[in-house]
Amino acid sequence: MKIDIERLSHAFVSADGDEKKVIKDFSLAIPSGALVRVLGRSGTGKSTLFNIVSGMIVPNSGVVKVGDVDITTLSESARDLFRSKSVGYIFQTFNLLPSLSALENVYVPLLLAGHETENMKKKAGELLKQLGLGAHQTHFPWELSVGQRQRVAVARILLQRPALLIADEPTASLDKDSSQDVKNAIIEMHKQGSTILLASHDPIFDDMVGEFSCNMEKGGE
Amino acid sequence: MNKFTVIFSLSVRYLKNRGIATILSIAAIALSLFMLIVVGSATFSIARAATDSSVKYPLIVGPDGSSGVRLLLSSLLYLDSPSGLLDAGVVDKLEAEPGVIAAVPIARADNYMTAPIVGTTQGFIDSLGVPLLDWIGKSEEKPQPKTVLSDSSLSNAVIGFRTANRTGLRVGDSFNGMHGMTGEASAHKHKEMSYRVVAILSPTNSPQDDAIFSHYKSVWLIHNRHLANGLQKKFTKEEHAKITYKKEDDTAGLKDAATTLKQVRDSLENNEKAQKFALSKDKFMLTSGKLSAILIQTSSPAVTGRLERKYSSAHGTIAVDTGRTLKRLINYMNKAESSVSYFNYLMLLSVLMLIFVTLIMSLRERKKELALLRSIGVGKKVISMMIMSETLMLVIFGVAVGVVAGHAMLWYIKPYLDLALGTNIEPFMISKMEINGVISTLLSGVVLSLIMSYSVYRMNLVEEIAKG
Repeated sequence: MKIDIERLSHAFVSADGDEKKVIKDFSLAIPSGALVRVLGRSGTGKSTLFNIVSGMIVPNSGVVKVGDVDITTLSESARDLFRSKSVGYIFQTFNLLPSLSALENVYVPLLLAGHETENMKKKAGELLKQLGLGAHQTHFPWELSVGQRQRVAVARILLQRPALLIADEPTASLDKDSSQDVKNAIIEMHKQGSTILLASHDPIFDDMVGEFSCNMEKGGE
Repeated sequence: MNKFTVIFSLSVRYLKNRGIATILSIAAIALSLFMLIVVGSATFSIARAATDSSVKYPLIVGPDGSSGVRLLLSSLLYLDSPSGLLDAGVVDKLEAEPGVIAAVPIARADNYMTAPIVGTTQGFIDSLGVPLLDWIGKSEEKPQPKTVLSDSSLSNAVIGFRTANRTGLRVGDSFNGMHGMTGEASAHKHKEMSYRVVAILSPTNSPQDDAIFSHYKSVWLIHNRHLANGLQKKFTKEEHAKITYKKEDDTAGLKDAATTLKQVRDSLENNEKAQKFALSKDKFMLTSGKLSAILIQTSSPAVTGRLERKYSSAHGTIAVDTGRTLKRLINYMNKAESSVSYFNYLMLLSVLMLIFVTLIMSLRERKKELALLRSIGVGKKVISMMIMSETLMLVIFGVAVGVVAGHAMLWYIKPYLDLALGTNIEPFMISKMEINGVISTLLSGVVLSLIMSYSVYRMNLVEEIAKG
């Protein structure tokens, strides 16, 4: 899925009325299936960019074409549908629903988002086995380690097979083995043709910088 | 699995996960409903017991100046003390009236362990239509006696089912009445005559279960002796002189006591203080020739109406239409019930507000969780529906548990409540109050769930995603 961003600008208004420009006149063209490493310190607008690209928020100005559609012109429900069909997210910490088991966390949210494919539960179980969590399928998030939780989130992404994967600090606070599992999953998705947007300070991804990177250090200017 | 099934199972799972918070919320709703169920059933049962009693005696004649409600309460339900005395000769006049089937004297002055001692006749016992549970000399060969109260044996007492259970009195036991209606500590014991339990009534689930019945002349006998003794002790030169009576507790004994009382009073004719004292006692002491009330059985409502008019304007009496007075009484009770129900509804509302606050608080804690769903593409409407379903389910569970456990609990505590309220609670009866309680709780639940879902709909979950 190719992404074309033209003259994107976005600002947040703080509680005391001050306007803080996070992204200024930012343009970027990402070919379909590319892996983009988005660089920049905290507060430079990486997460805002991800939220705009995924249709979570509508920018103040600019065009964001994902595929052939300018998602800034879509209604909220159309953007929800777009996200459920095409976007996968992996966050730093909070990726699971506490009231669901590991297995349910893989497929139930997808059902809720409108995915209805055959044998989802079975496939979810197989993915957990592949990620070394076969014995933890009925465990709840609080019964899993941080690394195990992140692998459950990875399993959900692998089941969803989104055309666009957004990974926002996906390996922060993970041990080396778990980080490698996450990285492998991202590589696997990339191989299958997904476009990847990755923001991470983890050196484990350093060998992936060469392909394509974007520095948000100056708000994308 | 469709989306609604997923929402439903997620809601159930979430409530289950909240554990103690969910249990407490359900228990709070259930407890509020339980109180409505108890008040509704109790009010209904008390009103029904009163109605059952009033059907048999559509007219009550009492002393002039009595209030209708008080007369009804004291003579049929034994819940209040009589307000005065009337001449026993009125019974004969009433019995001579055309259309009167029976005129039953009622003499109430004493109690035993707070059980009211009701002086009446065998006719009243017969009108109850209640078989005896136990009687002196009961055996398979010996049938139930036809007469248990008569003026030839004034010490006979027939006790109600609950009185027997509560006081421990059994057939053959003797006891002495206490002066007054409530068994207050300052009341004196009537040593002038002991009662003997000759029979126990089967349960009737009516005020009769809590009473003790004796012949009305036994009340006269006791109070004739009591007043004579009092005058003798207080005003004769012989300090603490004691009158000795023959042991008879029959008509002869009563005549003897009346004669003795007359003699003592005559002997104190010139003692102004003694005369004043005796006159003051005459106003409320049930000595010979006085009654608290007369219950009348009539052949038709027309007779009831005619007698009510006649005995309300003459003979130093007042006549009360039982049905009409009862209606007034039930209206009072309904007002009381309404006050209690308003309190209960207020409590229910407070409980729902409390649940609402905890749910709103928990929404804040769940912001990340909901944001995660948004990031996956779950629409705002679906998330709102999920929250609405959780709130509704909590209220519905609370109502269901309240109704089922409420009635089960009422069934369990029925014996204690019956004893305390003197009525027969129907544990599985559905009262109007309960229906109103259930409907208002469910409606409040719908409103709460709509507010909750609207709050979620308006929540800015993107901020949470930006936090990572």
